[in-house]
Amino acid sequence: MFRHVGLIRSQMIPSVNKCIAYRLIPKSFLSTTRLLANAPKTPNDAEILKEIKDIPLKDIKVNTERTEGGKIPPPGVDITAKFTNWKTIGIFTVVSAGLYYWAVNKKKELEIIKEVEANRSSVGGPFTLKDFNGNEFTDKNLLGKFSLLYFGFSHCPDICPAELDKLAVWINGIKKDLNVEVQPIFVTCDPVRDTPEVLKKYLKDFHPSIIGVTGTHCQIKDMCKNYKVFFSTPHDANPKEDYIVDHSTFTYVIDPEGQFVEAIGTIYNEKDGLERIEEHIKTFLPQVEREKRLNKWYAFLFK
Amino acid sequence: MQLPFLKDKQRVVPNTRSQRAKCWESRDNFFTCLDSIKVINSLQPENQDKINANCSKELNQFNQDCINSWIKYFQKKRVTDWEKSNYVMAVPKDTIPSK
Repeated sequence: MFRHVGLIRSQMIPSVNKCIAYRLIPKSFLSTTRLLANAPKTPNDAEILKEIKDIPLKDIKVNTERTEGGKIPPPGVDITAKFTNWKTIGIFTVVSAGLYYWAVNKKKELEIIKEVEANRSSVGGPFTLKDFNGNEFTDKNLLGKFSLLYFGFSHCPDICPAELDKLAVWINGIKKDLNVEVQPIFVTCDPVRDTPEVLKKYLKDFHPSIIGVTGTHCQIKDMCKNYKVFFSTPHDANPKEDYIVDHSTFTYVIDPEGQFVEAIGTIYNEKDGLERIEEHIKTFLPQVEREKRLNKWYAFLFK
Repeated sequence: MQLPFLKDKQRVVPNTRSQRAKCWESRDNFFTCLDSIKVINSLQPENQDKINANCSKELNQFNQDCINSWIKYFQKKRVTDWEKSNYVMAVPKDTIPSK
């Protein structure tokens, strides 16, 4: 230990020669203080003391830099400095940014799940209609894939064509981004004029995969009631007449279990609507999994 | 006064993409003309003289390119759209809840 003290001192005071340093070694820890307290004996001693006095006490470190194996770290290396370099700051920033991004995403996802949970049970239900090829089209046809359901009529002046153009963009976008084939369905609210032939010709203009669906006025009315769609076609409309059908303009997202997810309104543009639907497809969980999740301790996150 | 489109009520305008685009374009041209003579409601009888004097060409094209029911619909929509935008403008800014 003493050797140590001496060594440090000789390192710190290059002007004090080795010999003086050696003379300090046999003294106790407090030797410096004691030497200062005693009167100088010889002029030589006085010189030494003067030199020692010039060193501020706080600079005399005793046994603070001792390391394992008695090795002293080279001067100028500070353990804190080692970690305050740019690399460390960089890693820290990247990690925090990553965590933040993850948390924001998770929050968005949870918000969507919550919204969907709140609406799911109140919209939808069984229906029996006919597609434009003459085949029966029921709620069973919604199983196994995501469906995008739109209620409209082919003599629609501006809103339906715009919405159907968006629908086409979404169909292609989802296919491209997620490699998921959605089933687009157009249900007419104007069955008197929109015969299967009319629908086929009309929908071809928008996207080849859109299925046109029609039925009797009553069948369609029932379905619209279940899906909370309002429409104003008179029951006894004359197909020769030229009239406008007032109707709700939402694109319904239906999950592969045939359950309602969300109604996308006209305020969604091509880009936002696509993002929203893709979000639903990505966060989809089958009902069994959803129920399991609701029994977990973290279920409050989804309620 | 007889509006031109009332003369041939049985006239059939095909409901195709290209025809719709044509109709919308004629509609926009007609509405631009209405803007220039400061007419909002083109269905109002007291505006007819003004429209016939200034926008008859545009009106004829509009009537020719669009399905009958759409002609009236678009003209009504012009009024409601105008009212809507006016209503939004009339609401003082601080009463609109910020998101």
